[in-house]
Amino acid sequence: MTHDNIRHDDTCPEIEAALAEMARRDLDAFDPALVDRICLRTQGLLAGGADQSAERPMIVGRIHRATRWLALAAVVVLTLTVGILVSNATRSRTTLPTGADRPVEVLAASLERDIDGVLSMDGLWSSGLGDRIDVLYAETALIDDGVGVEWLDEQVLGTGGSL
Amino acid sequence: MRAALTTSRDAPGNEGGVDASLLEAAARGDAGAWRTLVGSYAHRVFALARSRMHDDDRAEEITQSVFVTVATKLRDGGYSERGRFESWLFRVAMNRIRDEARRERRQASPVAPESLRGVEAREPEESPYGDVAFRALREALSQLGEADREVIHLRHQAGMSFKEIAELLGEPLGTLLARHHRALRKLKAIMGSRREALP
Repeated sequence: MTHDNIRHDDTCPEIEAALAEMARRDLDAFDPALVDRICLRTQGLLAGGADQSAERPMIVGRIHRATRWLALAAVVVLTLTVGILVSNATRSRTTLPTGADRPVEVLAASLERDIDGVLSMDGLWSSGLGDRIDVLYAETALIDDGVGVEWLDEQVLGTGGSL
Repeated sequence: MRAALTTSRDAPGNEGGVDASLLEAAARGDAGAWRTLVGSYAHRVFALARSRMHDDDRAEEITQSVFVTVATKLRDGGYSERGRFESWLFRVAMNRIRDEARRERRQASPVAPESLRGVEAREPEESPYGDVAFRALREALSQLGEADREVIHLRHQAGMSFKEIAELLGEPLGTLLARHHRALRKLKAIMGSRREALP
């Protein structure tokens, strides 16, 4: 088997001839049954069928789409998580006095809202402040009168107590 | 999805050596038309792949995958070369061969002369050229630059015209002719330096 449409470059005739002969060998190694095998492999592809070898790109496409959805879901979950964490942190600053750096203000706010939470504060009883809780609770009305935080501050600092 | 096949108005009825109606029929799922198309080009794609890969099995796998790609593109309307089917087909083939060659370079050691001898050993013996000379020629080809080697293979193994090769590679015809000529001279020089006599 040879190619008919080759016009040789006559500068290197021996190389051209050798290349032509090598091409003939490559063409002669062709198994005509390969045409059948190709048609078998592509059977149904052009007719709109689902050849397995042709589905690979579709599978890859599905994986890409799934990856995009997973990435989007991950972003949504991450956003929600961050939102919840920020929300909790904000809420804890007003309702959870443990570890707060302004104990008197927290205590004053807490007395108004959640006396049980105040009573369960870490370090409250060991600080000695717990002994005065009843007094403080009874006098929280002063907060509304404008004395509020300053008054409580004096009470706590005056006893040497600290949260 | 099946898109209409676009054909050239400048070259009605002929798609780079293939009847446009044959392409249309193949794209519509006509098994006979598709078989004719495969039969017209499979041997040339195979020869091109074999010349680069030096292996019959890999050449066959490449040839099959090229036609799977072509069938898929025809079905999906991915072929829009307008009258240049042959150039398009061999571009698909060259891309596939390049991928395979890159994979081979990543995974394996450089082509050993023994592997070329294996190819030659399976080839017919009636050639007027000795096996030693062919081994030398294949080794000389492997020493050419990628671009020069492609031109040689497309010209001699794939049997393409210079005009088609120029279209395929996107280069001016003059540049391509000069490159082919230079590649032949390089081959001649390499062969001469190896003192491998060609008949």
